[in-house]
Amino acid sequence: MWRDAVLVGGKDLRVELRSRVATMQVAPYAILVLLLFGFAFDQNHALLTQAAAGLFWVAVLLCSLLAVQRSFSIESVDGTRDGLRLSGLDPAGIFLGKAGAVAAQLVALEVLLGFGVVVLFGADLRDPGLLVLTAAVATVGLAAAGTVYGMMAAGLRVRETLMPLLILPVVAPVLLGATQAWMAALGQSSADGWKWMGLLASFAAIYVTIGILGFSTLVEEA
Amino acid sequence: MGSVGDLRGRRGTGDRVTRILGWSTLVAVVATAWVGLVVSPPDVVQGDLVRLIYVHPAAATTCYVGFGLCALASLAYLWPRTRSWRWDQLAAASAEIGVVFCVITIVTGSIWGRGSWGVWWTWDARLTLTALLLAVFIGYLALRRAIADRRSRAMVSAVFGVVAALLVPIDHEATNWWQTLHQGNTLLRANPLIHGWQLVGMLLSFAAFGLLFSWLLVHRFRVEVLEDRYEVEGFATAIAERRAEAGAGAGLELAEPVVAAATPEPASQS
Amino acid sequence: MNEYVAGGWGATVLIVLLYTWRTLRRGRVLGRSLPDSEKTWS
Repeated sequence: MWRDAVLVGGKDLRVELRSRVATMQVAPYAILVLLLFGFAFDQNHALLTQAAAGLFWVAVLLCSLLAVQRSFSIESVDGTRDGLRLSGLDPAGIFLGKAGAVAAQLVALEVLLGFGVVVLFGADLRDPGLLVLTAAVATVGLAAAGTVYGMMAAGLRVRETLMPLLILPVVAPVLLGATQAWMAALGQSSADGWKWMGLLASFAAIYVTIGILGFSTLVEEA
Repeated sequence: MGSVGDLRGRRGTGDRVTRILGWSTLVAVVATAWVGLVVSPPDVVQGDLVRLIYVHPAAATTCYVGFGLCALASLAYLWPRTRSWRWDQLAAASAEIGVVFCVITIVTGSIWGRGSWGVWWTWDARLTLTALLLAVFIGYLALRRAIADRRSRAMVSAVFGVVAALLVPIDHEATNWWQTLHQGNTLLRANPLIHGWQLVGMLLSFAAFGLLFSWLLVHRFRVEVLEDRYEVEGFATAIAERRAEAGAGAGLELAEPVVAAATPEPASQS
Repeated sequence: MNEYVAGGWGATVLIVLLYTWRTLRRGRVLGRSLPDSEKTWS
């Protein structure tokens, strides 16, 4: 399973490196989203600083949609999906590989967005350990859930509009939990950030498990 | 040996069972309205607004039952030993009815909030959770509509249905923590000391909604079965009819391979 | 009874009636389009 995961994940990342979609398209999109938030909030600096955690995670969520879409669209051409199905690769490995590649891209985007949020919104990093750990766990959950639901919609013609509809309601608790944890880490709330981390960890654990167990069905049927 | 479902000679999906359920539903609804709107007194605290208690909680419960049934039916379909088209059809029907009652829950909850606090929406944990569930199951229905192949649709939506159920505890915890943080709006909770006509009204409302749900479920389930039949057999029938109409036409030889390819094999599952 | 109660009850009744009508009609349309042999199952 792990070997297949590395195989598939490596392939996805290599495609990404060669096509540079994440760096040339999704990253600028991410920064644009932050700028648009600035416009929408009328430069209200106090408000932006207060909302920085939430806005960061909304931006990450939107980018994750693009990353997941991309992860499945690279296989929609030339019968590649059938090739993957017939290749004899362990479906759980395919899941881990694809989710891993999405997670890696998201981490890179989050670093970029992190800089953006500090620069544009003046966020004050008080508890970097909680910040990083939360982001890591949340990213795993996002990538896993996105990959599971992305696979359901992957072969459909209405994929582009259906995937966000499937993914967003499901990852709403990640947005909630990550924002709360980050607000605590940025010193903006007295909430227990680590409790929210627990929620994020449960979410990630559930979806990784679902992916491992259910991907064989989805690969066959979707 | 009789069949479980038999609509031969009938115009639609109704039969004696649905007639009994339907009339019982009507009686229960009228009774609820009578007790709820006329007989029961206004609340000491909420005044007439309390009369929404005869709709909102029952609608919410029915909604959850609908979604829960969808999840269980999806599980039954996924489990190889119990796999049958019946579970897929039940999942589809109960999800749709769940969505309908979910909308009612949110609308009545929103109106109640507007009357109580002047705001159309409160980020109350339960209302937020219900809104999330609505979004998830609208996604479920959209997913079903997007997949044409019958088996693929059943399998993929069954996975979705089961996974959606797992979301409920997570979302419940999350929204509850979020709300205790904000010390905000107390939930619209029925007064535990509820008694007298208010209690009667609430019990009646649960009976009414329960019967309504069952009645709608039977009809909707049958619609789903008939629709599957139509997809599988009706198409073949339509082609056969078209052939009969055309007779031994000149172009028919060219059409033969197309028609043969398009005619689905007889279903091996019932 | 105030306008909120009327709104809430009214919306509920409306939604239920609309959905019921839609479902029953679908059933009738299908009933017309299918031969009797397709209308029985076990």
